[in-house]
Amino acid sequence: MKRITFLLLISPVLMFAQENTSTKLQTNNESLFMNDIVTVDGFYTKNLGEFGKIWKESVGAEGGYGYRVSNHFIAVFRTGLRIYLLNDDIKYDDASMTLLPLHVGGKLLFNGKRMYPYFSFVNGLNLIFQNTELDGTKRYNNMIKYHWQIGVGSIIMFNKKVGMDLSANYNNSFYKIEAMMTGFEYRLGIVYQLEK
Amino acid sequence: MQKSRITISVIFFFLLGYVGKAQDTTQLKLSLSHFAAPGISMYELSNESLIREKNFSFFPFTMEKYYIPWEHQKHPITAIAELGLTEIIPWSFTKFIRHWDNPADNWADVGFRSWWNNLNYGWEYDGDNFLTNYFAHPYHGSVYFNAGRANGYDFLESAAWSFAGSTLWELFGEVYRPSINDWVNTSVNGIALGEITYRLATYITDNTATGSKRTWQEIAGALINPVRGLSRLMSGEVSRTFENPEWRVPNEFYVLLNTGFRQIDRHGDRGDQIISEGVQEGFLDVDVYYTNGFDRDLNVPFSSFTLSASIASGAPNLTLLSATGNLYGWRLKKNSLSTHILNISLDYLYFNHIRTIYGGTSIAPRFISSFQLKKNLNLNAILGLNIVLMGATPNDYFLADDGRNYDFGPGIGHYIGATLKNGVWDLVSFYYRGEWIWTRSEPSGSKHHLHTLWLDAQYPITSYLAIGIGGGVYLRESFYDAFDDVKNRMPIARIFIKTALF
Repeated sequence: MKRITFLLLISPVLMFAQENTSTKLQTNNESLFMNDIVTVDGFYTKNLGEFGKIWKESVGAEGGYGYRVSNHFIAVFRTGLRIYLLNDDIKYDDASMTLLPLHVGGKLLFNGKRMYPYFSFVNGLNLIFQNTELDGTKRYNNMIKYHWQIGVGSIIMFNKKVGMDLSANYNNSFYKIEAMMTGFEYRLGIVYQLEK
Repeated sequence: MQKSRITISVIFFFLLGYVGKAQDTTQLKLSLSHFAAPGISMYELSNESLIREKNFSFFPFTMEKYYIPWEHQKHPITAIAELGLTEIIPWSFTKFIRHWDNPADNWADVGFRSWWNNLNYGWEYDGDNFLTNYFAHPYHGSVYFNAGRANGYDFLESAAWSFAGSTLWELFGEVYRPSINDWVNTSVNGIALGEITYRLATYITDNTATGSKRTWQEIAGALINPVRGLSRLMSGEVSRTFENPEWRVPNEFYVLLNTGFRQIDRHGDRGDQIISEGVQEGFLDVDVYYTNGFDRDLNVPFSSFTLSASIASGAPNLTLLSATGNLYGWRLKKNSLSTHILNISLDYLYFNHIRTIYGGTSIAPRFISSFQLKKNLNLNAILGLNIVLMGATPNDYFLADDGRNYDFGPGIGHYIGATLKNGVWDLVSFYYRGEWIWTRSEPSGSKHHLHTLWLDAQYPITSYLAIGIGGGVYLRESFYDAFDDVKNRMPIARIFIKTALF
């Protein structure tokens, strides 16, 4: 009799446990979210380290294509133009540095309905065009250097087609071994979702 | 009366169990299909018996309850905890236990100041010795990789864990600036070694086994892949019997042991005097082959791989550790007599001899052909490229404080090889590998042209034993902007016996 009572007592627990597991799995089964996307971003970067002592900040714009690999992962390809601005204390005449990025990477997206938070990693090559060295020496120099960036952000969809992409990133790109292009970058972009 | 109540209760309870089970099965099939999407999970989930637990328990109705294997679902909290553990253990050992003559040398003495410095000053190439950079770091990367892999993440997702673990360590685990060579070697080589150890540990641990056999399997699996062992311990799978993943047993698996002695030129620049000037040493090679390049699904990463290691009686003791596994491939042509594929593989190479080292992290697109000449006699040929993400080769004029006497840099190379194969035996095999490495580490201003040529011949005496001879030459041409160029040649000759373990 004790055994029967015990069996009856635990049977709801077992059933509940099965329901609970299934519910959890159903949540995971929700099909998310996006198709391929086209992006246009503007960004501001506060440069750090020895490089940041000369070139204080940079601004620019990029266009990109996001290829939907899976529910949670979008591969990113992007290019554009970045312009560097001298520190206020630095008085180099006619100094300029511009950069053409050729970057690939990915965004790891989390669940959401309109808002998709993500981690991102982007790397690739920077084509750097400068007419002045860090020490002020006038010298035209073109370089190709490795770029590396990690960040967090969120895509916020206004409707099925159009949304906004906000992110904060850390850049750690090659320039010179004693003065790497490090900096914190803030991005704001428009996202357009393509048809399936 | 009492008897009939018992009977009714038992029947009722079985019915409850059956109803619950039926609902659960449907639900699980629907739900788990999410994980079974291509590239999401390595498990085949279509077979519902896969998740049927076979454990016996005190209550007979639980003998047939359903069990979802741990790796069928993602466990981010456990994965983060394990990743944290794999970061904290070596860091704590260095910080608190290791003795430092000068406490200022303690590179684990990190804090907000070092973290901010690292973020500010960015990448550099470090000065660590070859063993640290091309053995310890890749191993550490494999541990990061398995924090994801052993907790429900697929190959690509686990690669992200490897990169994340390495990034955290480089930025926040050491007082030194983050090292780009460590980041690449830890992350990318960690992926290769991580997936290999994951597959080997899965192969060794049979989930349906019981008793002492199972115990030893779990111990061996945990030794090969400690993170997976920990996950199985925490999930209880270490002592649970349930179905194995379908891919667990490869189509073809064998381990070859190869022992003998070899003669290496001592000086590196008198290759024509190998007999009189050489140094002799004994060696033991282990080669692990998992599936083969032609029967597997070409698009499942590391469904085919080889892992080789060699230890020597002389210093350095660990002379070779290499791994190569497929990432993606296309079957170009197949008929009864020949197969041709284009394969992209991920290659890791640690090569450390008396006067020569080479470290490589490469992506290798290659054409692979197999021609059946007779029954059990095939000719396999390989032709392809090596895209070197991070190569390391000696610098004749540099020695860093921490022991680095070699350059780092990316490169490109080519590979050509052919093997006349009889079962597991390579009757005759040769390969040539050439690479250009452009130095990016300090001191820069150099480039290196590397060549390796190797020829082996084996004669099987029995089905499990062969004897063989082999030889080859390693040639390095180093070109320096500020110093004289150097040409270094290292011939090797060897005789050996070889046995197939499985």
